Amino acid sequence: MKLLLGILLGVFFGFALYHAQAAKPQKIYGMLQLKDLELMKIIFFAIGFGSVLLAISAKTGLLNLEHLSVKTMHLGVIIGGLIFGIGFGLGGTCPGTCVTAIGTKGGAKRGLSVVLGGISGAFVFLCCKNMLTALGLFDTWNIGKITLFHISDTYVSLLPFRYGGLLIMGLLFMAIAWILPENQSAKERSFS
Amino acid sequence: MKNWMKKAILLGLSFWIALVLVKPVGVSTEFEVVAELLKNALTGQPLENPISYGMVFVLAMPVGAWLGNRYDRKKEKTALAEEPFSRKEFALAFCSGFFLLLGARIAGGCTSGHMMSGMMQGSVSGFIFAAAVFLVAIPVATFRKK
Repeated sequence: MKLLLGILLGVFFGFALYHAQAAKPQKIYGMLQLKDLELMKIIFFAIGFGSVLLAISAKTGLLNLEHLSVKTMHLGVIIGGLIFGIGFGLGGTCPGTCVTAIGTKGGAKRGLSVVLGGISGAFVFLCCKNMLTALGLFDTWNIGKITLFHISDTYVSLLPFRYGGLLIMGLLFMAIAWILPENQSAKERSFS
Repeated sequence: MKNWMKKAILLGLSFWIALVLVKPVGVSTEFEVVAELLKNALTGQPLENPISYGMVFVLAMPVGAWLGNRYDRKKEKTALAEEPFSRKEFALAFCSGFFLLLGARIAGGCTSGHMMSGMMQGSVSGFIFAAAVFLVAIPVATFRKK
């Protein structure tokens, strides 16, 4: 049953990423070069919209709070993020979008190449894991699973606000998405 | 409604439905599962069954893209030219994947897990990860040779 859900939700997520054009390296380069911010608008809005839905569904009891999953903050998040940024800027893709690209015509070979590189990267990580742990990468600045707002008793929050705070953050994200400049090269969209 | 907003609502819904039904979306963990399998196979250790909710989720993603792509191509009726893919491009794509997953596993998540799911929940690590990623990715993409 859970596997079936996994298939359906994975198809939906891949479909949504495809429609956001996130699987196109040109769109990610455009966003990172700050020339075409459509993808940034979409991502900001989607995250904000997700927060609003999360806040409402948590408040009304629709959401099982055990489904929430907040990741630990430690030095590795920063170092890992910086390394991730090299790959993100270089390839114009990320772990989710390269997998998605495999399903598209014209993007499959590139997507598969990124996946192969990714498996190698994860392999090297596994081999260095003990060394990185010994270096204290995961213990330094480890402040645990911290959230901005009090979304569940499992996590410590920075601010005293609950779902109202998260709702306002979500609306703020949606507003930022709204304000960000529209794609100037709208004509190119039909072409691409 | 504007076009970008429709796409954003679709994407936001996909985050939320996954969260309500099972857990937040995440991808990079499954790369580690495959790498672990590979490592165990190479060192002759017993292999664990890699099939899980997370793995089928990731494997199903290209199917969703394929469905959308097929519909678009039928509608537009323009045959997309197969992009030439040189050895140099392969090297670039491979290296980019290498850095992406090395970084993601050190950070404990990627764009989907840390940035999208994380920030959606107001997770501090999600915001810090996003800041670190863009700090490097913007100059790399800007100075990268076309």
